[in-house]
Order: sequence, then structure tokens, then C-alpha cells
Amino acid sequence: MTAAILPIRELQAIVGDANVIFRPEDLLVYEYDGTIDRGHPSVVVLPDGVGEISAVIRIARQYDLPVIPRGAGTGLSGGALASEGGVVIVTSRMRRILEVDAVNRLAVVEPGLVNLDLSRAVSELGLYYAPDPSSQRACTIGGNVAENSGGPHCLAYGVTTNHVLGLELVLADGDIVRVGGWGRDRPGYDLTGVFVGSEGTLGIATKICVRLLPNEESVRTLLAIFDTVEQASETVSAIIADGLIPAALEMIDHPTIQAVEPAFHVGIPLDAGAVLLIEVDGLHEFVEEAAGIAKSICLEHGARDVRQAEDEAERERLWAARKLAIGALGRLAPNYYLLDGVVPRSKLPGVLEQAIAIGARYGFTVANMFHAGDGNLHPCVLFDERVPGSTERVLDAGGEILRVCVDAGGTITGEHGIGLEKRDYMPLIFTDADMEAMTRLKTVFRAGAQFNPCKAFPTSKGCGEVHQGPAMRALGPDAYI
Amino acid sequence: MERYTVDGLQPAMAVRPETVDEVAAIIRLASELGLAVIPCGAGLHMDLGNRPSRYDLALDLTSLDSISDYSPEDLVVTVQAGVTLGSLNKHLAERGQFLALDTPLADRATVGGALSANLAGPSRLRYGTARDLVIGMTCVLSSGAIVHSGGRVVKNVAGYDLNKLYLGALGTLGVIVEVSFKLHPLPLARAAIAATYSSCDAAHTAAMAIVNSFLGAIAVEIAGPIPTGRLSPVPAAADDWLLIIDLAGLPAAVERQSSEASHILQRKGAGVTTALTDTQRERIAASLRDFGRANGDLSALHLRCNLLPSQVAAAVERLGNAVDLADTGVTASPGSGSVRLSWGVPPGRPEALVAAIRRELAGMGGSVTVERCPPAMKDQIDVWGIEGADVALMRAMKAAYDPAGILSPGRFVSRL
Repeated sequence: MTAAILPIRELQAIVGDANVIFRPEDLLVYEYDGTIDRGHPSVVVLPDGVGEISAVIRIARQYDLPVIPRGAGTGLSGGALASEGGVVIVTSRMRRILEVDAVNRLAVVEPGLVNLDLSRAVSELGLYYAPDPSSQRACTIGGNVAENSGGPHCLAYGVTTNHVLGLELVLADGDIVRVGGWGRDRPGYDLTGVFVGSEGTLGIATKICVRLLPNEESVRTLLAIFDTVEQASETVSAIIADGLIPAALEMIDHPTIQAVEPAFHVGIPLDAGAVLLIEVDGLHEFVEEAAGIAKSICLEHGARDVRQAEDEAERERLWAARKLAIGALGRLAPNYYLLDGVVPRSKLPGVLEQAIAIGARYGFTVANMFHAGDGNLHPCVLFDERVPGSTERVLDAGGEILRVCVDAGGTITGEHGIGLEKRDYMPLIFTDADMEAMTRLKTVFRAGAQFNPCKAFPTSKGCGEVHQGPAMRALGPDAYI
Repeated sequence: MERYTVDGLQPAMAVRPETVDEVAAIIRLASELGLAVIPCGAGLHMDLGNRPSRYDLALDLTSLDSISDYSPEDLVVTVQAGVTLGSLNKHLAERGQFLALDTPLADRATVGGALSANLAGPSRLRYGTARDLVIGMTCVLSSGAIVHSGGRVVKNVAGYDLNKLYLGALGTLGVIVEVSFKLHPLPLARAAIAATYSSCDAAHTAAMAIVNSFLGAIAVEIAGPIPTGRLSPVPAAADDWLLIIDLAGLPAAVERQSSEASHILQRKGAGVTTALTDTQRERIAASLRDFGRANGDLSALHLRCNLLPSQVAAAVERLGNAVDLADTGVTASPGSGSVRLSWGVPPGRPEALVAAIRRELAGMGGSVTVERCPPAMKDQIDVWGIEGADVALMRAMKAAYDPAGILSPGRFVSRL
């Protein structure tokens, strides 16, 4: 699968010896991302600067090697995995904030900058960067651009594409081009808009101009405890129907509570059926009234209790319980398969019920945590990959759940991307003509077959199966990595 | 056939299909015959863009006028391209919702036309522009293929985001036939404040203080020198500049916003500050949005300078070197960095004037778009005025989606 010749020396000449990784034991860490899939990089490089990235891409092209851009490797669809081998270009050395313009509320950053570090850096100016994926303590802005990442606060503020004003790109032939207005309107086709969310298949962003927002005056965070998921879902629908769009509206269910409460001690009763985390922000006057409205609606729909965070520390704790919930699942099972379906909000209760039932039919518990306000569910199918055949069954269960989402008028990915794992589900939502129209962009951006191959669109011949990388296979079924 | 004239060119034929399949069949036929097609809705902004290089067939989308699906619980609506924004918002208002697409002559504009022109209005400050409201599209490509992008849910990253391509594209990549939007609840309370300042610089400084605060204004606009304030609801001296702030939200919040905003405006040296009545507010909002386009106020020459918010006052000063600003009107959106000039009567040698203006603003990193001008002028200037390596990608885009060049040929950037 990997090429016979690897241009190690040429790559070392571009980025320095220390920044070229090619020994198998060193490549191991770059085989994985946040999914159960594994890739097998031929070589990993860590460049610094657009010139180095351009030169690396040209070398890879010369040797007909796949090129795979990679940020922090926290992705949840396999986008940064070298499923066909090749040169993985890691952006972690490029993590500077190049410019902050507080008057025009924008910043220019490098792709390897960690998402939360950006908000932290501009907070003293009274500004923040709105898209806040749950992995924001680790994920990079470049990765966010590739996947058009969301996060709990995108309900009110939009997703990554609504906050990217321009890009500097290196294309698959090594050419460097600036797209977008970088804070000014720019006539022409919205090249920035099509690049965001293209999953690293059309080029690498080496500079990202982002919009910053002024900090809100006030924030209120509520935790509402319910006996059943149905009550919580109906509350979500009622809040939206009432014309209140909170800054965030998240839900976790009973199995997830079993993991999260012992880990974070936020005071959720272990017998609760579901918990809603509601955040409203804005002027004091708005926040007081909105929090009151939200609380009433929760109580009307049977909430046992509605608590309000008293201070910033408590607010952080409540959010940790949601944002770090995935990590806490390790208390319940060694593995989880995380789904990313979206349905119209009004269909949430029914779809959740079906997801849990499908899991049960396959013999798996499904722990749910999700962005209830925008209908983006994250069912986590809990399993143990050491049990023979369980991985395949989990994938089948996931496929059924995604079909339910599509049948309800939704889609198969709200924020994680198609990547490797969902490429063969694309025909559930797009026709051949739809996908053919999309793939013309590869021609426009001169992306070619080797630029992050076999991602985002259904597999063609030449795209291999993934799951369980070489190291795992070598170590045998009893190993746990 | 007059209605379908574009820059003095009249097509040989016009068709008005009633279904998406008919649109596809027409375009397929046009493609086979090599006919140049220009789609239109209400025809309000057909003078945008460079002169068409060819024009055989007008494709009138106004009969695609149904609301395909409306889900108030989900704050999502799906409409055909020929529905007017006025009729759509009337329908949505019955459920206390609206489409926050603020665009000139919104009541009469069709969805397809509004998106193809992509002229954003003052309330983009709060609600964003079309790219922030569109969640799904169905378009017909130059081959006649009907293709979908996005979907009907507000979170969606499946596939490439082709929705973005068609916005502002003047129909050059595909004909929009159906769109899904995310909606907003209608605000419970509205208010607006007008203030006068003795200079553009002073008005701009005050405006930026509001824009960069946490007040969350819907729109912040400046206009001047009076009497471009034929908009002016407040007593003002000639040469004064007007600052208008539009507010919305829960009643208690709006009250707070109003009083805070008034204090800021006063601290920044306002002459007269007035709270506007609802009627005044609506009239001014429409005037600012429809600047240079409303009947009785139609521009002969209309320019938009695309700059950074911080550059607005400096740009107006430089513009004053090339133009007597008392002749034209000037409105500016400090939130978006957009400065607009409008002449009711064409100035002498308009192409030389536009060149002079472009030279004055040359070092500022933006561009000047000619949104309306005497048709003859289009032979002498490029209305878009941009250059850069990204234009090559745009050419590749056009080549990929309309290789035969039958959709709105010649009108776009780089005469695509």
C-alpha cells in the first residue's frame, strides 16, 4: 500500500531532520484520531510556514504520494487518517496568533492554534471566538476549518463557516493563494465558503482570518433535571417554539449521567432520566427574563429541579460535565462509537427513542449527549472492541441509526464530517448528480486523486477498508491501546 | 420583453416555467442549442454586473412561487425561488417568525433574485447575510442537472458547501430553484435612535463605539452630509451627519439598549439625539436599505466601497477629494465597512470619476463595486474592480460548472 520510495532526505531538507518522522514506533501516534479507525502514515512531517508546506506538497506530488493534512488528531470522522498511506502534514508547529484587530473584530491565526487558546488570548480585549467544539481544549482552528466544526454555542452564534473571513491556502500543486475578503466584502464566488468544511480534501489552510465577537455582558447557566428523556426533549421544542434561542441548549441522558456525575460531581441524581444544560447570554435585562422563561418551561414539562450556576466556577463545572462527557464514558465501557446525526428539533423525542431501541436490539447501551437546541444528536454506542465481531455490529447499529435520522428529514453529520467512516452513507442524502456537482470542486482547486484520498465521498476502487491499524493487528485481540 | 432587458440587450425569447422540471428541461435545451440564458425574478437588480457577452433567452422564475415546506417548530422554511420576500415574511409573521434577510426592496424581491444579487442591508450587523441564513439549495446546472446541497436542518456538514457558491453569483454557476432557510423569532420590542454629528469622523467614532459594545444593536448606519438626510427625522444643519441605531429584543433589554446607546452617543458629541417613533424607524430603515434604489430615488450611478469598519471615515474623506459629497448621498455601515454613493443624475464623464475614486481608495485594501451606471459606461470599466490570485480560481469555477458559458455570460467578476 505504501510507496516503494519515500523521499525522507528531501523532506528533511525542507523542514529539518527533527521534523520528519518515519520510524514505525514513532509513526504509531499518528495512526489514530478520535474514531475507532486507524491509518498508516508512510511519513509524518511537521513544517513551519507556508513555504515549507508548499515545498512538502510539491515533493509528495513528485513522488505520487498521498498528502493528508492533520491538526491535533481529535477528529471524529477519520479525516486526518492516512488510510492509503502517504505524507501526513501536521500543523502543530504553526500555532501563532499573527494579528488581532480589536476595532474591526478580527484575528489572523495559524492553523495549529488550539481553539480555546484563541479565545483566551483575546479575552483581555473583551473579545472571544464563538465556535466552541467540545474538544476545544485540544482541537485546532485549522481542523475546525476543515470540518466546519460546531459546538454548543453555535445554536445562537453559528458554526465555523460563519466566523471565517478569509484564508491563505496551499493547493495540491503547491500554489499559494489568498481567498476571501479578510474583513471586507469581496465580490466574486465565495471560495472561503466552499473551502470551509471540505475536510482537508481541497488544500491546506496556512492562515485563517476569523471574526471575533464582543463578550456578552451577562450569562446564566441553568441545569434542569428530568425523569425522562421525553420530558427533556419536549422542553427543548417548547423553548424554541416560544421564540427563545438560548446561547446553548444541551442534553445528556441516564447512561451518560452514570459516567459524568462520578467524574465531575455536579450534583445530578444518578436516577435522573435526562438533564438539560441551558445557557442564555446578553444584557442583564435579557438574561434575567430569558432564564426565567426557560426555567418556567422546564418546570411546566415536569422538571424535578432547575438550578442556576451561582458563579463562574460552578458554570465551568456544569460545562465540563457536558464537554468532557465523552472522556468520562471510559467508566462505562472500553470503547464507544460516536454518531453525529441531525434531525429537525421537533423529531428529537421519536428519533432518540429509536436510537436507544436499535442499540438494545444489537445488545449495546446507547449513551446520549447532544446539542439538543439544533437537533444534532451524539448517540454513543458503548461496546468492547475485544469482543469478536462487536466492532462490525456497532457499525451496523450506527448505520441504522443514521438511516432513522435521514428518514426523519435530517442528515448524517452535523459537525464531525463524513471523512472515512460515513463516506458510503452519502447516497442516503445525495444523488449521484449531487455528488458529481460537488466533486467538480476538486478540479477547480486542482486537488487531484492523491490529496487526502478516499475521504468524504463514497469509496471508489483503490480505497481500502479501515479499522484497526497495523500496530493493533500486530499486538493481537487482547491488547488495549 | 422590455422587462427582460439587461444593459440595453434584449433577448430573443423569454420563458416562464412553472415547475423545477420545466426549468431543467429549458436549460438542457438551451445547452444543446448553445443559447445564453439569464435568469431573473422580479428584475430589480438586473443592472448589476458587467454587460452580458451574449443574451438569447430570459428565464423568468416568478412562477415558481410556492412555499414548499414550513416547520415553525424547527424555525426552518423551504421556498421556491420565485416567492417574494414580502409574501414569505407575511406568511411567517403569522407564526411570529421572519427571514432575517435584509436586502434592498425586500418586499418585491424574489428569493432567487435576492440571493443571486446578495446585496446585504443594515441589519446584517446582527443577523448576518445570506450565507448565514441559507441551509439548503436546489439549483439547475448548465447541463440541466437538478442538484441539491445542504439540507433542511440547521447543522449540516455533509458534502461540500455548494450553497455558498450560488450566493451573489448572478446565476453564473447555476439557476437557483428552491432554498431552505433558518428563521428567527420576531422580536417583541423595537426601538431606534437618531443622532446628528458635525462631521463624518465624529459620527463614525460614535458608531464604532456602539458596534463594538455588547449592546447588540440590529443596525448602525451613518448618512450624510444632510440633506441626504432627506432621511432626516431630526432637525439638522446642512453638512451634518446622521447616525441611526436600530434596536430589538425583549422590552426590558431594548429599554436598556436605548438608554445606554443614547449616553454613548451624547458622550461622543452628538448634536441632537432623538428616539424615533415606529413609523419613523420603519421609514428610515427602508430608506437606508433601499438607498439609491427606491422609486423617486433611483441612482443613475451607484457605487459601493468595500472596506473595513475602521476605514469608513477615512474613506469618506478621500472620496471628498474626488467628489462633491453634497451632490451625491453617502451612506455607510460602520459594522460592515460598506460605504455607498449615489448620483441621481449621472455626473459628467462617469467612467473617469469611477477611476478617480478607485485611485483615491487604492491604498485601503478593498474594492469599489459599480452597482448601477449608465449602460454605455459598461464598455469602459469593469464594474467589480477586483484582481488577485483568487480570480484564477473563480475562472476555474466557472469553467467547471458552466463550461459552455451559457449562464449569464460576461456579467461576473473577470467578465465570466
